[in-house]
Amino acid sequence: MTERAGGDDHDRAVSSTLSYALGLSIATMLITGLVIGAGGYVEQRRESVTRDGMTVIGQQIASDVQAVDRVVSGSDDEANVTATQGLPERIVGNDYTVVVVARSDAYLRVTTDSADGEIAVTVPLANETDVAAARLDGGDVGITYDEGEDALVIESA
Amino acid sequence: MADLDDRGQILVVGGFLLAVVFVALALILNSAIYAENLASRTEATDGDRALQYRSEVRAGTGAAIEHANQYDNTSHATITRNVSNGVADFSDLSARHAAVTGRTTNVSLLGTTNGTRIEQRANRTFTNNSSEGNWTVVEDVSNTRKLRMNVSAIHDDGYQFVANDSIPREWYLNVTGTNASADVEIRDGAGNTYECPSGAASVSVPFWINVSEGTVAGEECAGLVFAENVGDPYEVTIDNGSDLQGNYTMIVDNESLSQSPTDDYNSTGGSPFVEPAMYNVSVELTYESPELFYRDQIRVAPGESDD
Repeated sequence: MTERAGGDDHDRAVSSTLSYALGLSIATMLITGLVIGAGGYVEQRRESVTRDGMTVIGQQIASDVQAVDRVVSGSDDEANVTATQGLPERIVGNDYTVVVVARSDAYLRVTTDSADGEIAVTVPLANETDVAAARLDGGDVGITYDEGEDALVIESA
Repeated sequence: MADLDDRGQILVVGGFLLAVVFVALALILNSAIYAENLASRTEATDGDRALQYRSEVRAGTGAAIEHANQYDNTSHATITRNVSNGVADFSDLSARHAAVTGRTTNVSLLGTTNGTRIEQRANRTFTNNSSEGNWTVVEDVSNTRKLRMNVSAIHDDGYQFVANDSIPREWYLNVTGTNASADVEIRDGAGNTYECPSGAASVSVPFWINVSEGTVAGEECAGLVFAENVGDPYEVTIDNGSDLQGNYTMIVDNESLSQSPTDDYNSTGGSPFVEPAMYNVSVELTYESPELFYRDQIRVAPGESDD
């Protein structure tokens, strides 16, 4: 015990400096690890939420297109149909763009430019009446039936 | 001791960074909740209601036409006034009903087509007023609705109900057989023939031939479409009307017949007779909800099938 006590006294200054340095580096490592881990997690969540948000927006537009399509199909050719849908202007703080790809199997492509590059989601449209090609920015959307073209026009409202 | 005081700095900085991360996470969570909320919205665009309103207008206007044709049908002007009032009343009522759910609706009358109701109410042979079997029911017709006949006795096989155009293409309906076992044969303007009821089955008198509905004795009959493959305008004639007995009714879009009836019709209330009727109307309907604007023009001719 005495031997030890004597030894302790001798080593104590070293131990204090060392344990300080050790404690500091462990705390730094721990906190850095936590921040990096949490930051990565947040970034991952952010992308997945953005993707979900864009899918939802695409599906909302697709559902409106379908609703207007049904009304047009159930009416005569001179029907005048317009639907408006309130949608957010940004998703998780990023602007987004909706592109209407007019083909026989038309679809919507929703894209956003985040810090980590482009995220894109495609949502198929189930329509009987043709849709006109369009490109619109985020925000409220209007869907109108154009009798002349016999097509559904999707535009920013 | 100064060293020991500095020691907390890394914790403060680390804690601050973590706080920022949590705030960012909260924002993202908020966006996620918003997206979920958006996703769980019921379909905001009530296209179904708009279409429902459209069919209500069709039914309501149709009922107004039927009512006006049935009661107080002394002249086309009276019928038009009654239909116009009926449509206006329907518009007011439906608008009040729609206002409860925050929607506005309107129906307005765009135009009407006058016509003539041709009817034999008494049970007699299908002859004209002078008991002639071969006679012209009506000329210059483009549309016919609510055409049905009730057969109460078959005297011979010659009866034909004919529609023919100027080319001429001829559509006819022929009733043959006996009172116990009758057959209905149809030949359209393109020469296709159909037997009603289909197959070997026969019907016994009395029975209804509902041409506009496409049924014989209540059974659906393929091919029973009046004036199919016959161009407009066509004339309607009866051949050998004395071979068949019963009654019939139809509404045609020829207004002049009711204004100046031919000698074929009884002018003193007997059968067969003609009277003014409205053939069809065109209405414009508007349906507006916060998300949907819908306007359409429809033509209403209840019980029509030959166009």
